[in-house]
Amino acid sequence: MLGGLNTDKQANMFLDPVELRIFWQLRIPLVITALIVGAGLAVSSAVLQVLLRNPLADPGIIGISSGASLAAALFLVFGSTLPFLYIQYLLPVFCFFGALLSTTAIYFISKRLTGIHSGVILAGIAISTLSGAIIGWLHFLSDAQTMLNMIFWLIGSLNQADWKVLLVAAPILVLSLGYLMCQGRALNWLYFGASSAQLAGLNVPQFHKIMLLTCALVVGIAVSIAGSIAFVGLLVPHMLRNFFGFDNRFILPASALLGAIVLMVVVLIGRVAGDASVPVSMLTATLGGPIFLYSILRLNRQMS
Amino acid sequence: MLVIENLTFSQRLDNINVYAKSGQFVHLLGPNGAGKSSLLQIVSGLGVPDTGRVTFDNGDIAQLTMIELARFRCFQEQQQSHIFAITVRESLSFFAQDLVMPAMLENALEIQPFMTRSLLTLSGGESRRVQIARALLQIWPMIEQGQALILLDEPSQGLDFRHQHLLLSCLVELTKLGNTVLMSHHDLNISTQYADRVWLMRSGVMEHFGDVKDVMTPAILSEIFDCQVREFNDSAGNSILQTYLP
Repeated sequence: MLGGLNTDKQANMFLDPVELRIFWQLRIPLVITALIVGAGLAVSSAVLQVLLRNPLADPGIIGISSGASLAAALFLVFGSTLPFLYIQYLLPVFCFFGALLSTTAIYFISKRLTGIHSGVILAGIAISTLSGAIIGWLHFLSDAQTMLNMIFWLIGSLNQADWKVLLVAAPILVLSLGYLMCQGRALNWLYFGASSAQLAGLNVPQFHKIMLLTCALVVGIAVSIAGSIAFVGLLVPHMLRNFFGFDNRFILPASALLGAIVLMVVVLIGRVAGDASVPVSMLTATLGGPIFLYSILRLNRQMS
Repeated sequence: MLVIENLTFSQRLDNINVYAKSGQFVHLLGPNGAGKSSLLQIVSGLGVPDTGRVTFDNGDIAQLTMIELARFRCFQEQQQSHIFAITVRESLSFFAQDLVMPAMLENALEIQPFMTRSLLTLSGGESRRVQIARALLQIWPMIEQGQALILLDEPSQGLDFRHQHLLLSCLVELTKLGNTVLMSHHDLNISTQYADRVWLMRSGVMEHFGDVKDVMTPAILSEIFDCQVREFNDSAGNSILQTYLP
Protein backbone atom coordinates (compact mmCIF):
# COMPACT_ATOMS: atom_id res chain seq x y z
CA MET A 1 0.00 0.00 0.00
CA LEU A 2 2.68 2.45 1.08
CA GLY A 3 4.92 1.40 -1.78
CA GLY A 4 2.08 2.00 -4.19
CA LEU A 5 1.58 5.49 -2.87
CA ASN A 6 5.25 6.28 -3.22
CA THR A 7 5.39 5.26 -6.89
CA ASP A 8 2.29 7.32 -7.45
CA LYS A 9 3.93 10.31 -5.93
CA GLN A 10 7.14 9.77 -7.90
CA ALA A 11 5.21 9.40 -11.15
CA ASN A 12 3.27 12.54 -10.35
CA MET A 13 6.40 14.54 -9.78
CA PHE A 14 7.12 14.47 -13.49
CA LEU A 15 3.56 15.46 -14.34
CA ASP A 16 3.13 18.28 -11.85
CA PRO A 17 4.27 21.40 -13.76
CA VAL A 18 5.60 23.11 -10.62
CA GLU A 19 7.69 20.08 -9.59
CA LEU A 20 8.89 19.68 -13.14
CA ARG A 21 9.92 23.31 -13.28
CA ILE A 22 11.82 22.99 -10.00
CA PHE A 23 13.46 19.85 -11.30
CA TRP A 24 14.63 21.42 -14.57
CA GLN A 25 15.33 24.97 -13.45
CA LEU A 26 16.88 24.32 -10.04
CA ARG A 27 17.86 20.71 -9.39
CA ILE A 28 19.52 19.86 -12.70
CA PRO A 29 21.63 23.07 -12.81
CA LEU A 30 22.60 22.42 -9.19
CA VAL A 31 23.75 18.89 -10.02
CA ILE A 32 25.62 19.97 -13.14
CA THR A 33 27.30 22.79 -11.18
CA ALA A 34 28.36 20.40 -8.42
CA LEU A 35 29.74 17.87 -10.91
CA ILE A 36 31.75 20.23 -13.08
CA VAL A 37 33.00 22.44 -10.25
CA GLY A 38 34.08 19.42 -8.19
CA ALA A 39 35.81 17.81 -11.15
CA GLY A 40 37.36 21.12 -12.23
CA LEU A 41 38.83 22.02 -8.85
CA ALA A 42 40.17 18.51 -8.23
CA VAL A 43 41.80 18.08 -11.65
CA SER A 44 43.35 21.55 -11.74
CA SER A 45 44.80 20.98 -8.28
CA ALA A 46 46.12 17.57 -9.30
CA VAL A 47 47.92 19.33 -12.17
CA LEU A 48 49.13 22.27 -10.08
CA GLN A 49 50.55 19.96 -7.40
CA VAL A 50 52.87 18.43 -10.00
CA LEU A 51 53.54 21.63 -11.91
CA LEU A 52 54.62 23.46 -8.76
CA ARG A 53 56.18 20.35 -7.20
CA ASN A 54 54.14 20.84 -4.07
CA PRO A 55 52.00 17.89 -2.90
CA LEU A 56 49.61 20.28 -1.14
CA ALA A 57 49.17 22.96 -3.81
CA ASP A 58 45.68 24.18 -4.53
CA PRO A 59 44.21 27.06 -6.57
CA GLY A 60 43.41 28.84 -3.31
CA ILE A 61 46.89 28.47 -1.87
CA ILE A 62 48.69 29.69 -4.97
CA GLY A 63 46.38 32.64 -5.40
CA ILE A 64 44.38 31.86 -8.55
CA SER A 65 41.06 31.99 -6.71
CA SER A 66 42.05 35.11 -4.77
CA GLY A 67 41.99 37.17 -7.97
CA ALA A 68 38.53 35.84 -8.73
CA SER A 69 37.35 36.67 -5.22
CA LEU A 70 38.75 40.17 -5.44
CA ALA A 71 37.03 40.76 -8.78
CA ALA A 72 33.76 39.50 -7.28
CA ALA A 73 34.10 41.74 -4.22
CA LEU A 74 34.90 44.79 -6.36
CA PHE A 75 31.93 44.07 -8.56
CA LEU A 76 29.57 43.60 -5.62
CA VAL A 77 30.66 46.90 -4.11
CA PHE A 78 30.73 49.08 -7.20
CA GLY A 79 28.06 47.31 -9.24
CA SER A 80 25.46 46.95 -6.50
CA THR A 81 23.30 49.68 -8.05
CA LEU A 82 22.90 47.65 -11.25
CA PRO A 83 19.67 45.67 -11.74
CA PHE A 84 19.81 42.20 -10.21
CA LEU A 85 19.72 40.54 -13.64
CA TYR A 86 22.99 42.22 -14.65
CA ILE A 87 24.64 41.34 -11.37
CA GLN A 88 23.71 37.71 -11.82
CA TYR A 89 25.35 37.40 -15.22
CA LEU A 90 28.16 39.92 -15.00
CA LEU A 91 29.52 38.56 -11.71
CA PRO A 92 30.78 35.28 -13.23
CA VAL A 93 32.40 37.17 -16.09
CA PHE A 94 34.21 39.45 -13.66
CA CYS A 95 35.40 36.51 -11.53
CA PHE A 96 36.69 34.74 -14.54
CA PHE A 97 38.80 37.68 -15.66
CA GLY A 98 39.93 38.17 -12.07
CA ALA A 99 41.28 34.61 -12.02
CA LEU A 100 43.02 35.04 -15.37
CA LEU A 101 44.50 38.36 -14.27
CA SER A 102 45.85 37.03 -10.97
CA THR A 103 47.32 33.95 -12.69
CA THR A 104 49.01 36.11 -15.30
CA ALA A 105 50.37 38.36 -12.55
CA ILE A 106 51.63 35.33 -10.60
CA TYR A 107 53.19 33.91 -13.74
CA PHE A 108 55.10 37.08 -14.62
CA ILE A 109 56.21 37.77 -11.05
CA SER A 110 57.44 34.19 -10.66
CA LYS A 111 59.38 34.51 -13.93
CA ARG A 112 61.36 37.32 -12.31
CA LEU A 113 62.03 35.13 -9.24
CA THR A 114 64.27 32.76 -11.20
CA GLY A 115 66.65 32.33 -8.29
CA ILE A 116 63.93 31.07 -5.95
CA HIS A 117 62.74 27.48 -6.19
CA SER A 118 59.10 28.02 -5.24
CA GLY A 119 58.70 31.31 -7.10
CA VAL A 120 55.14 30.60 -8.24
CA ILE A 121 53.98 29.82 -4.72
CA LEU A 122 55.64 32.91 -3.23
CA ALA A 123 54.18 35.09 -5.98
CA GLY A 124 50.81 33.45 -5.27
CA ILE A 125 51.06 34.19 -1.56
CA ALA A 126 51.90 37.81 -2.35
CA ILE A 127 48.92 38.18 -4.70
CA SER A 128 46.59 36.36 -2.24
CA THR A 129 47.65 38.57 0.64
CA LEU A 130 47.16 41.69 -1.44
CA SER A 131 43.74 40.53 -2.67
CA GLY A 132 42.75 39.55 0.86
CA ALA A 133 43.76 42.98 2.13
CA ILE A 134 41.74 44.79 -0.52
CA ILE A 135 38.73 42.53 0.14
CA GLY A 136 39.10 43.32 3.85
CA TRP A 137 39.06 47.07 3.15
CA LEU A 138 36.01 46.66 0.92
CA HIS A 139 34.26 44.82 3.76
CA PHE A 140 35.20 47.60 6.12
CA LEU A 141 34.00 50.38 3.85
CA SER A 142 30.86 48.86 2.36
CA ASP A 143 27.29 49.10 3.66
CA ALA A 144 25.58 46.24 5.46
CA GLN A 145 23.73 44.74 2.48
CA THR A 146 26.78 44.72 0.20
CA MET A 147 28.83 43.19 2.96
CA LEU A 148 26.27 40.42 3.39
CA ASN A 149 26.31 39.75 -0.37
CA MET A 150 30.09 39.56 -0.31
CA ILE A 151 30.15 37.16 2.62
CA PHE A 152 27.64 34.88 0.96
CA TRP A 153 29.51 34.92 -2.29
CA LEU A 154 32.89 34.27 -0.68
CA ILE A 155 31.73 31.17 1.19
CA GLY A 156 30.54 29.63 -2.04
CA SER A 157 27.22 28.31 -3.17
CA LEU A 158 26.24 25.72 -5.73
CA ASN A 159 22.78 27.22 -6.18
CA GLN A 160 23.87 30.30 -8.07
CA ALA A 161 24.19 28.96 -11.58
CA ASP A 162 21.25 28.71 -13.95
CA TRP A 163 21.02 27.36 -17.47
CA LYS A 164 22.13 30.61 -19.14
CA VAL A 165 25.38 30.63 -17.17
CA LEU A 166 25.92 26.88 -17.43
CA LEU A 167 25.43 26.76 -21.19
CA VAL A 168 28.46 29.02 -21.58
CA ALA A 169 30.55 27.79 -18.66
CA ALA A 170 30.06 24.03 -18.79
CA PRO A 171 31.29 23.36 -22.36
CA ILE A 172 34.46 25.45 -21.88
CA LEU A 173 35.13 23.81 -18.52
CA VAL A 174 34.55 20.29 -19.80
CA LEU A 175 36.77 20.84 -22.85
CA SER A 176 39.58 22.30 -20.72
CA LEU A 177 39.27 19.39 -18.30
CA GLY A 178 39.47 16.94 -21.19
CA TYR A 179 42.65 18.65 -22.36
CA LEU A 180 44.21 18.58 -18.87
CA MET A 181 43.38 14.90 -18.46
CA CYS A 182 45.35 14.01 -21.60
CA GLN A 183 48.60 15.40 -20.14
CA GLY A 184 49.23 12.56 -17.68
CA ARG A 185 52.38 11.23 -19.31
CA ALA A 186 54.16 14.59 -19.37
CA LEU A 187 53.05 15.37 -15.83
CA ASN A 188 54.52 12.04 -14.67
CA TRP A 189 57.93 13.23 -15.85
CA LEU A 190 57.51 16.55 -14.05
CA TYR A 191 57.37 14.82 -10.65
CA PHE A 192 61.16 14.67 -10.98
CA GLY A 193 61.63 18.34 -11.85
CA ALA A 194 61.81 20.48 -14.96
CA SER A 195 65.12 19.18 -16.28
CA SER A 196 64.12 15.51 -15.91
CA ALA A 197 60.97 16.22 -17.93
CA GLN A 198 62.99 18.14 -20.50
CA LEU A 199 65.44 15.24 -20.81
CA ALA A 200 62.51 12.89 -21.32
CA GLY A 201 61.41 14.98 -24.31
CA LEU A 202 59.07 17.67 -22.99
CA ASN A 203 59.23 21.34 -23.98
CA VAL A 204 58.92 22.40 -20.35
CA PRO A 205 58.63 26.23 -20.58
CA GLN A 206 55.84 25.99 -23.15
CA PHE A 207 54.08 23.17 -21.29
CA HIS A 208 54.26 25.12 -18.03
CA LYS A 209 52.66 28.17 -19.61
CA ILE A 210 49.84 26.24 -21.30
CA MET A 211 49.04 24.20 -18.20
CA LEU A 212 49.02 27.22 -15.85
CA LEU A 213 46.66 29.11 -18.15
CA THR A 214 44.37 26.11 -18.63
CA CYS A 215 44.20 25.64 -14.85
CA ALA A 216 43.41 29.34 -14.47
CA LEU A 217 40.63 28.94 -17.03
CA VAL A 218 39.14 25.97 -15.18
CA VAL A 219 39.46 27.54 -11.73
CA GLY A 220 38.21 30.89 -12.99
CA ILE A 221 35.06 29.26 -14.35
CA ALA A 222 34.57 27.12 -11.23
CA VAL A 223 34.95 30.10 -8.90
CA SER A 224 32.76 32.29 -11.07
CA ILE A 225 29.80 29.90 -10.98
CA ALA A 226 30.15 28.59 -7.41
CA GLY A 227 32.21 31.06 -5.42
CA SER A 228 35.37 30.07 -3.67
CA ILE A 229 35.25 26.46 -2.45
CA ALA A 230 38.05 25.42 -0.16
CA PHE A 231 39.95 22.15 0.23
CA VAL A 232 38.25 19.98 -2.43
CA GLY A 233 41.04 20.70 -4.88
CA LEU A 234 43.76 20.18 -2.33
CA LEU A 235 42.50 16.96 -0.80
CA VAL A 236 41.01 14.91 -3.62
CA PRO A 237 44.17 14.32 -5.69
CA HIS A 238 46.32 14.18 -2.58
CA MET A 239 44.22 11.36 -1.07
CA LEU A 240 44.04 9.50 -4.39
CA ARG A 241 47.83 9.59 -4.71
CA ASN A 242 48.18 8.29 -1.17
CA PHE A 243 46.06 5.27 -1.94
CA PHE A 244 46.55 4.50 -5.63
CA GLY A 245 50.03 5.73 -6.51
CA PHE A 246 51.17 8.65 -8.59
CA ASP A 247 50.46 7.78 -12.22
CA ASN A 248 48.67 10.87 -13.54
CA ARG A 249 47.16 8.90 -16.41
CA PHE A 250 44.98 7.39 -13.67
CA ILE A 251 45.03 10.17 -11.05
CA LEU A 252 43.65 12.90 -13.33
CA PRO A 253 40.45 11.10 -14.42
CA ALA A 254 40.04 9.64 -10.92
CA SER A 255 40.32 13.15 -9.43
CA ALA A 256 37.61 14.37 -11.79
CA LEU A 257 35.34 11.55 -10.66
CA LEU A 258 36.04 11.85 -6.93
CA GLY A 259 35.89 15.67 -7.01
CA ALA A 260 32.46 15.47 -8.63
CA ILE A 261 31.33 12.85 -6.08
CA VAL A 262 32.54 14.94 -3.12
CA LEU A 263 30.58 18.00 -4.19
CA MET A 264 27.52 15.84 -4.89
CA VAL A 265 27.79 14.55 -1.32
CA VAL A 266 27.99 18.16 -0.13
CA VAL A 267 24.79 18.88 -2.09
CA LEU A 268 23.12 15.85 -0.49
CA ILE A 269 24.17 16.90 3.00
CA GLY A 270 22.76 20.34 2.24
CA ARG A 271 19.43 18.78 1.19
CA VAL A 272 19.29 16.55 4.23
CA ALA A 273 20.12 19.47 6.51
CA GLY A 274 16.99 21.23 5.28
CA ASP A 275 15.98 23.67 2.59
CA ALA A 276 18.29 26.44 3.68
CA SER A 277 21.36 25.79 1.56
CA VAL A 278 24.35 25.12 3.77
CA PRO A 279 27.39 27.13 2.63
CA VAL A 280 29.58 24.80 0.58
CA SER A 281 32.93 26.06 1.78
CA MET A 282 31.83 25.63 5.36
CA LEU A 283 31.09 21.97 4.74
CA THR A 284 34.18 21.26 2.67
CA ALA A 285 36.39 22.99 5.25
CA THR A 286 34.73 21.10 8.11
CA LEU A 287 35.33 17.79 6.38
CA GLY A 288 38.62 18.85 4.81
CA GLY A 289 40.36 20.42 7.79
CA PRO A 290 40.86 17.19 9.76
CA ILE A 291 41.77 15.23 6.62
CA PHE A 292 44.30 17.92 5.74
CA LEU A 293 45.85 17.70 9.20
CA TYR A 294 46.09 13.92 8.87
CA SER A 295 47.68 14.31 5.44
CA ILE A 296 50.42 16.69 6.51
CA LEU A 297 51.27 14.51 9.50
CA ARG A 298 51.45 11.48 7.23
CA LEU A 299 53.57 13.45 4.75
CA ASN A 300 55.96 14.33 7.54
CA ARG A 301 56.29 10.63 8.41
CA GLN A 302 57.11 9.79 4.80
CA MET A 303 59.71 12.53 4.55
CA SER A 304 61.55 11.66 7.72
CA MET B 1 81.08 10.17 -32.75
CA LEU B 2 80.70 13.03 -30.28
CA VAL B 3 82.36 16.26 -31.41
CA ILE B 4 82.56 19.46 -29.37
CA GLU B 5 83.78 22.52 -31.30
CA ASN B 6 84.72 25.99 -30.04
CA LEU B 7 82.27 25.65 -27.18
CA THR B 8 81.91 28.68 -24.91
CA PHE B 9 79.23 29.09 -22.25
CA SER B 10 78.80 32.14 -19.96
CA GLN B 11 81.79 32.28 -17.59
CA ARG B 12 82.00 28.52 -17.16
CA LEU B 13 83.24 26.98 -20.40
CA ASP B 14 86.01 28.55 -22.44
CA ASN B 15 86.47 27.54 -26.07
CA ILE B 16 86.35 23.77 -25.67
CA ASN B 17 87.40 21.52 -28.55
CA VAL B 18 87.30 17.80 -27.94
CA TYR B 19 85.83 14.63 -29.41
CA ALA B 20 85.03 11.01 -28.54
CA LYS B 21 84.59 8.12 -30.93
CA SER B 22 81.48 5.97 -30.74
CA GLY B 23 81.88 3.16 -28.26
CA GLN B 24 84.41 5.00 -26.13
CA PHE B 25 84.18 5.25 -22.35
CA VAL B 26 85.22 8.82 -21.53
CA HIS B 27 85.92 9.97 -17.98
CA LEU B 28 85.61 13.69 -17.31
CA LEU B 29 87.85 14.74 -14.42
CA GLY B 30 88.74 18.02 -12.79
CA PRO B 31 88.56 19.97 -9.55
CA ASN B 32 85.26 21.34 -8.18
CA GLY B 33 83.92 24.17 -10.31
CA ALA B 34 86.03 23.17 -13.31
CA GLY B 35 82.94 23.16 -15.56
CA LYS B 36 82.29 19.39 -15.76
CA SER B 37 78.58 19.64 -15.02
CA SER B 38 78.18 22.63 -17.33
CA LEU B 39 79.81 20.69 -20.15
CA LEU B 40 77.55 17.67 -19.54
CA GLN B 41 74.51 19.93 -19.49
CA ILE B 42 75.36 21.50 -22.83
CA VAL B 43 76.12 18.12 -24.40
CA SER B 44 72.77 16.83 -23.11
CA GLY B 45 70.94 19.68 -24.84
CA LEU B 46 69.64 21.17 -21.57
CA GLY B 47 71.75 24.28 -22.03
CA VAL B 48 72.41 26.35 -25.14
CA PRO B 49 76.03 27.42 -25.65
CA ASP B 50 76.97 31.03 -26.37
CA THR B 51 79.19 29.96 -29.24
CA GLY B 52 80.32 26.71 -30.78
CA ARG B 53 78.43 23.48 -31.19
CA VAL B 54 78.07 19.87 -30.15
CA THR B 55 77.35 17.13 -32.68
CA PHE B 56 76.63 13.47 -32.14
CA ASP B 57 76.75 11.15 -35.17
CA ASN B 58 76.66 14.33 -37.33
CA GLY B 59 73.45 15.64 -35.74
CA ASP B 60 73.74 19.10 -34.18
CA ILE B 61 72.45 18.76 -30.59
CA ALA B 62 71.16 22.34 -30.54
CA GLN B 63 69.11 21.72 -33.72
CA LEU B 64 67.35 18.59 -32.44
CA THR B 65 64.03 18.80 -30.63
CA MET B 66 63.73 17.54 -27.05
CA ILE B 67 61.71 14.56 -28.31
CA GLU B 68 64.39 13.61 -30.85
CA LEU B 69 67.13 13.93 -28.22
CA ALA B 70 65.15 11.87 -25.70
CA ARG B 71 65.33 8.85 -28.06
CA PHE B 72 69.09 8.38 -27.98
CA ARG B 73 70.53 10.56 -25.20
CA CYS B 74 70.16 10.11 -21.46
CA PHE B 75 71.61 12.25 -18.70
CA GLN B 76 71.80 11.40 -15.02
CA GLU B 77 72.07 14.76 -13.32
CA GLN B 78 74.12 15.31 -10.21
CA GLN B 79 71.35 16.98 -8.23
CA GLN B 80 68.08 15.20 -7.63
CA SER B 81 65.50 16.09 -5.03
CA HIS B 82 62.37 14.11 -4.37
CA ILE B 83 59.23 15.67 -2.98
CA PHE B 84 56.65 12.99 -3.76
CA ALA B 85 56.52 9.59 -2.03
CA ILE B 86 56.56 7.67 -5.33
CA THR B 87 57.69 4.04 -5.21
CA VAL B 88 60.86 3.07 -7.06
CA ARG B 89 58.91 0.80 -9.42
CA GLU B 90 56.39 3.48 -10.33
CA SER B 91 59.08 6.12 -10.83
CA LEU B 92 60.87 3.83 -13.30
CA SER B 93 57.62 3.01 -15.09
CA PHE B 94 57.14 6.69 -15.97
CA PHE B 95 60.38 6.73 -17.97
CA ALA B 96 60.79 3.19 -19.32
CA GLN B 97 59.03 2.02 -22.45
CA ASP B 98 59.17 -1.50 -21.08
CA LEU B 99 58.92 -2.15 -17.37
CA VAL B 100 60.93 -5.37 -17.44
CA MET B 101 64.26 -4.52 -15.85
CA PRO B 102 67.04 -5.75 -18.19
CA ALA B 103 69.16 -8.41 -16.42
CA MET B 104 72.37 -6.56 -17.23
CA LEU B 105 71.12 -3.44 -15.52
CA GLU B 106 69.70 -5.26 -12.50
CA ASN B 107 72.96 -7.18 -12.01
CA ALA B 108 74.88 -3.91 -11.86
CA LEU B 109 72.48 -1.75 -9.86
CA GLU B 110 70.68 -4.35 -7.71
CA ILE B 111 67.58 -2.25 -7.16
CA GLN B 112 65.10 -5.16 -7.02
CA PRO B 113 65.19 -5.31 -3.16
CA PHE B 114 63.78 -1.78 -2.83
CA MET B 115 61.46 -1.70 -5.84
CA THR B 116 58.37 -1.22 -3.66
CA ARG B 117 59.86 1.39 -1.35
CA SER B 118 59.19 5.12 -1.60
CA LEU B 119 61.92 7.29 -3.15
CA LEU B 120 61.87 9.41 0.01
CA THR B 121 63.06 6.52 2.19
CA LEU B 122 66.12 5.51 0.12
CA SER B 123 69.68 6.13 1.26
CA GLY B 124 71.92 8.37 -0.84
CA GLY B 125 73.57 5.47 -2.65
CA GLU B 126 70.31 3.59 -3.24
CA SER B 127 68.72 6.76 -4.56
CA ARG B 128 71.64 7.28 -6.94
CA ARG B 129 71.34 3.70 -8.25
CA VAL B 130 67.63 4.22 -8.97
CA GLN B 131 68.42 7.49 -10.70
CA ILE B 132 70.99 5.80 -12.95
CA ALA B 133 68.50 3.01 -13.75
CA ARG B 134 65.88 5.60 -14.68
CA ALA B 135 68.24 7.43 -17.03
CA LEU B 136 69.38 4.24 -18.77
CA LEU B 137 65.88 2.71 -19.03
CA GLN B 138 64.61 5.81 -20.81
CA ILE B 139 66.72 4.99 -23.88
CA TRP B 140 67.23 1.25 -23.33
CA PRO B 141 66.08 0.23 -26.86
CA MET B 142 68.72 2.56 -28.33
CA ILE B 143 71.35 1.28 -25.88
CA GLU B 144 70.65 -2.30 -27.04
CA GLN B 145 71.29 -1.14 -30.62
CA GLY B 146 74.55 0.44 -29.47
CA GLN B 147 73.76 3.93 -30.73
CA ALA B 148 73.12 5.76 -27.48
CA LEU B 149 74.87 8.73 -25.88
CA ILE B 150 75.02 8.13 -22.12
CA LEU B 151 75.86 11.12 -19.91
CA LEU B 152 76.39 10.62 -16.19
CA ASP B 153 77.27 13.34 -13.68
CA GLU B 154 79.05 11.72 -10.73
CA PRO B 155 77.09 8.45 -10.91
CA SER B 156 79.39 6.77 -8.38
CA GLN B 157 78.77 9.43 -5.72
CA GLY B 158 77.39 7.68 -2.63
CA LEU B 159 77.87 4.17 -4.02
CA ASP B 160 79.81 1.62 -1.97
CA PHE B 161 82.90 0.21 -3.77
CA ARG B 162 81.19 -3.02 -4.76
CA HIS B 163 78.44 -1.07 -6.51
CA GLN B 164 80.96 1.35 -8.00
CA HIS B 165 82.76 -1.57 -9.65
CA LEU B 166 79.50 -3.23 -10.71
CA LEU B 167 78.36 0.04 -12.30
CA LEU B 168 81.65 0.72 -14.05
CA SER B 169 81.84 -2.86 -15.41
CA CYS B 170 78.29 -2.53 -16.71
CA LEU B 171 79.15 0.77 -18.44
CA VAL B 172 82.17 -0.90 -20.06
CA GLU B 173 79.81 -3.57 -21.43
CA LEU B 174 77.53 -0.84 -22.78
CA THR B 175 80.42 0.82 -24.61
CA LYS B 176 81.31 -2.55 -26.16
CA LEU B 177 77.83 -2.51 -27.73
CA GLY B 178 78.86 0.74 -29.43
CA ASN B 179 77.35 3.25 -27.01
CA THR B 180 79.31 6.36 -26.09
CA VAL B 181 79.56 6.99 -22.35
CA LEU B 182 80.70 10.29 -20.86
CA MET B 183 80.83 10.42 -17.07
CA SER B 184 82.32 12.75 -14.48
CA HIS B 185 83.65 11.55 -11.14
CA HIS B 186 86.50 12.03 -8.63
CA ASP B 187 88.35 8.71 -8.33
CA LEU B 188 91.63 8.56 -10.28
CA ASN B 189 92.03 4.79 -9.85
CA ILE B 190 88.54 4.14 -11.23
CA SER B 191 89.67 5.95 -14.38
CA THR B 192 92.91 4.02 -14.75
CA GLN B 193 90.92 0.79 -14.36
CA TYR B 194 87.95 1.49 -16.64
CA ALA B 195 88.35 4.55 -18.90
CA ASP B 196 89.18 4.50 -22.61
CA ARG B 197 89.79 8.22 -22.72
CA VAL B 198 90.16 10.91 -20.07
CA TRP B 199 89.18 14.57 -20.39
CA LEU B 200 90.84 16.82 -17.83
CA MET B 201 89.24 20.19 -17.14
CA ARG B 202 90.22 23.16 -15.00
CA SER B 203 88.57 26.60 -14.74
CA GLY B 204 86.33 26.04 -17.76
CA VAL B 205 89.23 24.97 -19.97
CA MET B 206 89.84 21.49 -21.41
CA GLU B 207 93.49 21.22 -20.34
CA HIS B 208 94.24 17.67 -21.53
CA PHE B 209 92.42 14.88 -23.30
CA GLY B 210 93.60 11.54 -24.57
CA ASP B 211 94.33 7.94 -23.63
CA VAL B 212 94.60 7.05 -19.97
CA LYS B 213 98.36 6.36 -20.13
CA ASP B 214 99.09 9.74 -21.74
CA VAL B 215 96.92 11.91 -19.53
CA MET B 216 96.86 10.19 -16.14
CA THR B 217 100.45 10.95 -15.19
CA PRO B 218 101.37 12.21 -11.71
CA ALA B 219 102.86 15.38 -13.19
CA ILE B 220 99.75 16.38 -15.14
CA LEU B 221 97.33 15.35 -12.39
CA SER B 222 99.26 17.18 -9.65
CA GLU B 223 99.14 20.37 -11.68
CA ILE B 224 95.44 20.16 -12.65
CA PHE B 225 94.19 19.30 -9.15
CA ASP B 226 96.72 21.44 -7.26
CA CYS B 227 97.38 18.41 -5.06
CA GLN B 228 100.25 15.94 -5.01
CA VAL B 229 99.78 12.67 -6.93
CA ARG B 230 102.25 9.77 -6.94
CA GLU B 231 102.18 6.47 -8.72
CA PHE B 232 103.35 3.11 -7.39
CA ASN B 233 102.73 -0.54 -8.09
CA ASP B 234 100.81 -2.79 -5.73
CA SER B 235 101.93 -6.37 -4.92
CA ALA B 236 100.09 -7.65 -8.01
CA GLY B 237 101.92 -5.19 -10.23
CA ASN B 238 98.94 -2.84 -10.83
CA SER B 239 99.67 0.85 -11.05
CA ILE B 240 98.03 2.78 -8.21
CA LEU B 241 97.66 6.57 -7.97
CA GLN B 242 97.82 8.07 -4.53
CA THR B 243 96.87 11.63 -3.68
CA TYR B 244 98.20 13.65 -0.75
CA LEU B 245 98.93 17.20 0.31
CA PRO B 246 102.59 18.25 0.21
